[in-house]
Amino acid sequence: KDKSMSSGEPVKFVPVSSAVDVMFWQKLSEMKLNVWKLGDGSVPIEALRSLAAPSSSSPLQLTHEAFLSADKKSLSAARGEWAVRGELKNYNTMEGFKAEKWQEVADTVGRRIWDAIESGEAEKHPELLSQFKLCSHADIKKWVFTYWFCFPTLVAAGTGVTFDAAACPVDQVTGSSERTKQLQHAVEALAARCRADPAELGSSEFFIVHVPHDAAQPPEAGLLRDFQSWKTGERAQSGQILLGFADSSNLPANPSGSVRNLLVLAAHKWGLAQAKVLCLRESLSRDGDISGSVVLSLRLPELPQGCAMPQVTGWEANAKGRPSPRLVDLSAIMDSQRLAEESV
Amino acid sequence: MQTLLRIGEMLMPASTESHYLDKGVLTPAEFVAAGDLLVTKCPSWKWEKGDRSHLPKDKQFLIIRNVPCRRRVRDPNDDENEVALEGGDDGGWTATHTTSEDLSKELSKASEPKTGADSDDDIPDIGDFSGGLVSDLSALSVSVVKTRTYDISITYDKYYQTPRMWLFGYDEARRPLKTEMIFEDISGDHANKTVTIEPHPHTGVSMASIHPCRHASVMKKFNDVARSHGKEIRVDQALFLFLKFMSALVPYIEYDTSASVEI
Repeated sequence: KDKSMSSGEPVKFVPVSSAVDVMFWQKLSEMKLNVWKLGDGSVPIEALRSLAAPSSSSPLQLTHEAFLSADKKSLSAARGEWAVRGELKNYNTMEGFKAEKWQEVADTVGRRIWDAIESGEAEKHPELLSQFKLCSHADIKKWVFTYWFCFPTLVAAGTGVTFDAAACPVDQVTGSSERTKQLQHAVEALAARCRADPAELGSSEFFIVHVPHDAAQPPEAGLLRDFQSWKTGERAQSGQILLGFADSSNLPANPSGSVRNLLVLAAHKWGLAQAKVLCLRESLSRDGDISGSVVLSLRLPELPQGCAMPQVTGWEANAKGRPSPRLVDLSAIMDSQRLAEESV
Repeated sequence: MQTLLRIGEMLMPASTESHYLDKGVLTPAEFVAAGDLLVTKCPSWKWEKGDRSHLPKDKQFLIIRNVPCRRRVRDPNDDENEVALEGGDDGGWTATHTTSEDLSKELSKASEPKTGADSDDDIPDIGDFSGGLVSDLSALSVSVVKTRTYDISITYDKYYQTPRMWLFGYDEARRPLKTEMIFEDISGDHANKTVTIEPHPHTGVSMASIHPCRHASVMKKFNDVARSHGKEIRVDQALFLFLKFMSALVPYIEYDTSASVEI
């Protein structure tokens, strides 16, 4: 058995990673030339998060669709995907980019997340927990882009989140594969409801689950905003209540770091010392089958009412594993004719 | 050349009569129907918008992103190491003179091939930015295996009246792969015969593409075999069939064929 899974061991989270496609940079260049010009204010963008397949973790994907506008207020997410809101700041000069105070940028977004947790807004709009920041500089003539993602993560002082028991497959918690199938349908129905009315219901990236002790009763999926009433109501007696999230990690005992702000909410807002977390994952057949999901029993750090905001981390590491901006050079692959047209 | 092709494409009427069974070709409407089935069965495939008039505005080409490719068909540093693939008569892939010409031109431009392993060293140093940042003690830093990934798109080729596959690769550090590196992921026999580097018809980005000149005859051949066994590959299943025979060319690019048809 994996040593890291035994009780008391700190949980290691898989950092959220980004995948930006070429068309995103094409679109950014176009926006820079035609819309923003010398403006360098923050603009809203969206990325897509998807579940991990058994063989690989999924990055947060940004495409040319990432840019929002008055007539496109959100991305359309397919089954098994969630739109994640962020903001982009494109610096006019490389000097301006290099002179940025990066920890302050992380703290600013981190503060927004913390405020949303304290005010209760994050329970109504769980997408606030996964808001991100992208800072970039575009050398449009040379088609060279420098960029750095921050996925702001609140980290309590001390040992962090630890395992209370070993991770287990979802079937062990539901009791059978049939009930896991019922849980899948409940989660899919919740996700479809949220996709149909995101303004009112928010994202279903984070949710709650009720697994009745009575095996004849099907599991249920609910919104974060229902947690308090589930916890104090009949469901707490009749079964287990779990936190759930769309997990883009595929490692057995390492959930995606995207869940960490939810755990801060659970500890601080709901006062939980322990939590069971359903890490929603896709299995091989890819028809939405979640039998590859795992359940983690976690011990949460103390974050009592009135405590100070935790520290904020989240700047993406480069290929060498150090937090650092990345650079992408597209000059060799852009169509020369198009380059000529666009540089006029 | 591209412009000429595009003008030619515009002048050519799009066919509406089905010749799927007798010639293995698709009409634009059949391509759209097959694409619709693909995105329904495998939602990681998506339709993209575009401006070609023979296709609906919001259903111009299909794309799937971030498809992992964990191993190379051939190691550029070791010719002996080429992975043996099921060869034989796979439907008549033969050399096309124009494409092999293009290819040798492309290859002569290519610099020394590089493996992904040493590619970290050429990350340009743009200064140390980590000063003053809160360090994250709970982040998993080791054992997250990075692999090459591909964005794969399927366009409708109006001249050949078939789907056409385009490959855009990224290295382990998420930087676009150089063309010569993409050839490491294409099955040996085919790389030199049927792969060209051209601007993608909808994005203008230079990409590797599997030349479609033999697609129709392969489609027809598979259909004939299926029918001789009393089975039918419906025209809306054509892209599953297409992806199936494409996977012989790019055996380690792990796109989803699980919902595929029985062939």
